Amino acid sequence: MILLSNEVIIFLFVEALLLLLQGIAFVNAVGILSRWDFAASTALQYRLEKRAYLVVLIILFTLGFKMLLLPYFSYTIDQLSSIVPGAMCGAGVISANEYGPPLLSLKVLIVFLTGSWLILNAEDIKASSYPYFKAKFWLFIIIFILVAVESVLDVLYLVNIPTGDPVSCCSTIYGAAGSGEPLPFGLDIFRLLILFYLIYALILAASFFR
Amino acid sequence: MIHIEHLNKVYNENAANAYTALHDINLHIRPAETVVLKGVSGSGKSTLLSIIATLIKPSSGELVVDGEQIAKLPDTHASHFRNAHIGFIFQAFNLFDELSVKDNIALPLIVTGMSQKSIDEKVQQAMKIAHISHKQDQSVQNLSGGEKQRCAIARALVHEPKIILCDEPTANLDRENSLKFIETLKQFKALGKTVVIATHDPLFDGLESVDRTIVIENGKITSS
Repeated sequence: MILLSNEVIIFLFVEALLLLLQGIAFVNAVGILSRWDFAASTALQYRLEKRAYLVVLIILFTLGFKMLLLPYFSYTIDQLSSIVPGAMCGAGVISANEYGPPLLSLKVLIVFLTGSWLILNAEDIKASSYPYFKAKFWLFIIIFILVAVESVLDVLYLVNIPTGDPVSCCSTIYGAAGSGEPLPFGLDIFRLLILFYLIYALILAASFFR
Repeated sequence: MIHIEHLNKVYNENAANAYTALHDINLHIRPAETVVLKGVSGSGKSTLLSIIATLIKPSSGELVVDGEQIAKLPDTHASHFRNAHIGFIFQAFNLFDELSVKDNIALPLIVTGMSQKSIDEKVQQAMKIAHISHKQDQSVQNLSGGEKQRCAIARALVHEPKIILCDEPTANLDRENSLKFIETLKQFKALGKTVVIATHDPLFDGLESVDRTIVIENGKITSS
């Protein structure tokens, strides 16, 4: 039933397509990294540079789409709240089974790593001697492994969402003081606020010292 | 100035119709030297010129200009290098017919973000060197072949490149205009430019303004 939802079908289809493209990029990235020697002027190195250009384009495209897929995932699980008993929004659906919370954490981690990859790539193409080439390819390899794990978790999570048993949702999260379920990751409102303002200050500091 | 070592170019690499255009080219061109690359059509001279201009990449080997390895530059950096160091005179002139002479010449400077005043000054200077000032406001489509070439020469000079590359510069000119172009070589020399001319025109044989003639046959240098 969950898997027949339009949003889930679109989400899984796009994710499978991106995984396929990233898989191709991964295989090529491993091949390029193992033989890369920028100082060499051999035919092999010139071929690798040409291939690397295409691989970077694929990575850029897929990671860009992957960033957009996170809000779509939120939208998808929010839409599922209408068929999951007890769920009033995505917050209830994500904790419908044991795969949801780690999946959400993994998605957030991948977004941060993707952002790092995009920054690294932007710095790399500014220079003429590919100074961050190996670093960005290694980072992509790590991202790909995490994306592969994420894809498995996605399927496990979506397949195991119960449509018969009620799940806890906002009613308990925002319940009377002390009686409700805690926020995800054991956070309370006070800690959440500290984290929010800490990240906000970090962003300001990063843009100031850039 | 231009240092080429073990340079090879294969078109359609790893395909059934792979074609080796350049084979193990080794060449050293000194600053302010005028060199003629001589060879029949298909000998590889235009390919070599295009590689020096960073318009295409070699399949292997080194190309160092002013101490910088340019054969491996990423495309964006290659464009910057080209705009800073190379002036190219094409066989078919490659001008924009609908633009005026002045606007065609200004093009390499516009992309650098230079002020309009500086652009105007440099364009006037380049037109003066190429003897095309009197046609500055005319549309290129109304120019004769010789005038088009003088416009192309001014465009190649306007950003003050160290290197001027000419691909069959007299192929579309009559004898009179070809001789005028040869006269221009003296001006390039006086300006201290390094000039590389790919041609099969016998008019370039034994010229005083040419320092060296390099013969290319079947993608190999047979005499330099």
